[in-house]
Amino acid sequence: MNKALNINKGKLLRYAPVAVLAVLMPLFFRNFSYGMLLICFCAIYIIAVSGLDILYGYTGQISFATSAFFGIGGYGSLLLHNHTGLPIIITMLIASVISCVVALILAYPVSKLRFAFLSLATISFNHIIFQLVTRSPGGITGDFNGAFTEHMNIFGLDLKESWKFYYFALVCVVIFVSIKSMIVNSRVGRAFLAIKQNLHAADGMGINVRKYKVYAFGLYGFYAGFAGSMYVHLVGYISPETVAQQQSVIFMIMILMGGVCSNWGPVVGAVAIILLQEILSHAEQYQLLVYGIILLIFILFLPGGIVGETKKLFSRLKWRKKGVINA
Amino acid sequence: MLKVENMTLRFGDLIANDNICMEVPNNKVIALIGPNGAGKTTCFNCISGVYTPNNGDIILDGVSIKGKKPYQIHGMGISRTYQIINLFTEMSVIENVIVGMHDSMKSNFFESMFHTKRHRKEEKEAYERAIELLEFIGLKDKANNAAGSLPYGEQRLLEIIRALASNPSILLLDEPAAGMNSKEKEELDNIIQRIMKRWDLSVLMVEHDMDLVMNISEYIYVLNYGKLLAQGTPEEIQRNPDVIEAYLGGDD
Amino acid sequence: MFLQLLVAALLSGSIYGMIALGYSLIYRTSGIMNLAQGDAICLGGFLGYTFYSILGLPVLVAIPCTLVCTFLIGCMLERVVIRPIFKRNVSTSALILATVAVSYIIQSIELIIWGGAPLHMRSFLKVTNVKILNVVYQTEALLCIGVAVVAMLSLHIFMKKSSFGIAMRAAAMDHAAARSCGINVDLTTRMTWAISISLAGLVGVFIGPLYGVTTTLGTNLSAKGFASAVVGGYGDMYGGILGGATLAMLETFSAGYISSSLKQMVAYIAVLIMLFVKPRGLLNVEAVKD
Repeated sequence: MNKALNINKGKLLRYAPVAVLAVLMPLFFRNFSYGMLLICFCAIYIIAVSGLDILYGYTGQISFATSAFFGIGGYGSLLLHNHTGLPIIITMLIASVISCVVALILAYPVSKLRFAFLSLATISFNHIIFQLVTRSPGGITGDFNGAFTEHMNIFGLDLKESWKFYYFALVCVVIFVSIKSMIVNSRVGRAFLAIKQNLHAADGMGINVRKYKVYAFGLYGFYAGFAGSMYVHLVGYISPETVAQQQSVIFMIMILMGGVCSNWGPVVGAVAIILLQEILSHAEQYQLLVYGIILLIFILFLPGGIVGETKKLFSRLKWRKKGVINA
Repeated sequence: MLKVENMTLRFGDLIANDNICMEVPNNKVIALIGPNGAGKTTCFNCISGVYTPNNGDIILDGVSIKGKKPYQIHGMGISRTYQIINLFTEMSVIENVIVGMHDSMKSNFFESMFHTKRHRKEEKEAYERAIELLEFIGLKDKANNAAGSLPYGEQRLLEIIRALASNPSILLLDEPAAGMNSKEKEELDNIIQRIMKRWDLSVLMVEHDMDLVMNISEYIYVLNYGKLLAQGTPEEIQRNPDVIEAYLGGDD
Repeated sequence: MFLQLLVAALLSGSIYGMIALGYSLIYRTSGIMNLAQGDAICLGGFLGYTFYSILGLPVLVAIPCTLVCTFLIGCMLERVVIRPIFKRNVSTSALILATVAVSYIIQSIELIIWGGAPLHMRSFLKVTNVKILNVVYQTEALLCIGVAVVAMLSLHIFMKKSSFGIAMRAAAMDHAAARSCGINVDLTTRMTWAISISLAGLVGVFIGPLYGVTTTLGTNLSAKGFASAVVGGYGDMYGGILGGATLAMLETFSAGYISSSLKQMVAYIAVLIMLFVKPRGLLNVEAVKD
């Protein structure tokens, strides 16, 4: 069925229980505000990882610079708000646009090279941003101490408490994931997939590969940047740790674990990693080992991620039930 | 009408295509034959923009396409299939066809992102046209199957339909019969003839199967060691002693 | 001061060049970036420390032992991780990510076996400083440079003259064509990985006395390595060496004459500038564009 044609009304109904659960979420965390904070982090990561899904899941481009764009959004909104006093929503949007533009500038020349070189370019870019943030001119980013800013508020409506921020984050997630869904189920999304599956055939069939690679990268920059700006106004603080290279890899783990090319993949991935980070906070020396092993397991054995492999499992069970496939 | 004028392509010291001159007039099936390694696919790659010839020119309806990129050349009306199957294996059969129409659709990025009326209309029309095309080769029932799940012969046909999706004026077929059994080859023969009747285009075909070539094509160019060895109608080529020595008499 | 900076640059250059060699060799053969290259350096350092400082073996025994170990680890890496992933037809991007996973696992194993504190290796030579033409040089540094030069020369001769080396170059250019000539491409691929890893290990052992042995050294040097390869021409052996020398000169002289905080960024900025402007590198290498 041509997905771009109509929004299936049945699907909307299926989302109803999820929607109710989402709206009532803060009730469950009434006495557990730390948990509410974690849920907010989930939301922020879902947005960033959705952007990464567009880049990696749909066009197959790799990036080790997600935390750099996250940081551009975060530090950008912080600096703009602290120095110009513009309302936070505005600085968030401006910072996201800046992140998008920087992404486009980075992607444009590199897009004519093979995918492998994007890995080197993004690693280098991430390091440069890290250096800029830790040795900023005039120390405006607070260098290694980090910097503080106001908590989220929308034109006077204070969202400092986690459960209040949560509703704002929920709206953002719905908007960003919907936009992603519309893009990938359109002509543009088809071009993205064609590039990932067979670049030369895509070129031969009239798709301007370079243009779409850059589009995907720009979208990814915007998503990661906005997520970063959400982060800085949730916590009220940001430090160079957030921009570290390892953070970028953790974002990649989220999309691999959750599952590429799906709306729920980033959700599952974000939740899984946040839980994992909580567990591992008691055993920091095993962090690297766990991340490395998880990465290998998903790359080697579960390429569809949790969401993808579950779908495959269900469809295989369905066919087995119908007696079509044996064993 | 496609004209290849004195086209030469070098890979370092190796001359892959040497001073090739060809003409593909409107509404004709032209074949390009020659032993393995003669430079036929290289020639196709030059025409479709994968390589840029070092010398000479390629002219489509009076406009030079030398140096243009593959996606631009596709947009100008030259579509191709590949020697090794180059489908989008994880997409469905019908999605493959719709991708072939990509550059015929004019919605821009933001229209796509917000599913505007124009975008939805174009998608609907593309879908309907793709169904028509699939019906033409009898694959309509498999429209939603993964392209990679099709049997080999049908995958080759799908590639042809994908190339036709953009309504090209020149269709380049690179060994369309490769790996097909005799029944599938008969079907292919039939399909090419139906394509010629139904659409206003020319076919330039690289092929090894001589029965197919002699049956379908109206003019043949023979390549050997990168150079044009002979050209003529199928009868002339069959009688040509150089061709017989180099190619027809030997293998196949 | 100039001469001392020059020696420092030569030292860095030879180190970077060796690592860049590894990157380029693997790219030519397998088409990917091995982002675990930096950890191979650390591994060499740790193994060298084990043989030389813990077990107290003489230098001429410890170093070959380290080389053999890293060579075997390279073989194992290719066979156990890389080959299976290749078989599953995974994208380039996922493969590169897999090398990052391997890097993390190697680092964890290093942490578990040797702990997190930096280790200090004794110098290999009895004399620590030597005075040539009125300038004092660290003999260890000169040794490093010497070893690097010997290694690079040996590799050059091996690749150009020995039949296996020629087979490796052929396989790197075109797997299918090489197979049809009877070359065992699986073997040449494995050897390429083993050589790249042991080159990095060699670097690790010899910089041990100079910089100590830690896990963090790897990430930094790894970046300098691929930056050198990009500058010189990615995929080309000699490009890696030239790139290493160039990058080292840029870094050392900009730190010496402009500012030392710039030094950290030079390599990364060089990568971006080269990829943007001249992706074929100084030696104008092919096969970089899509």
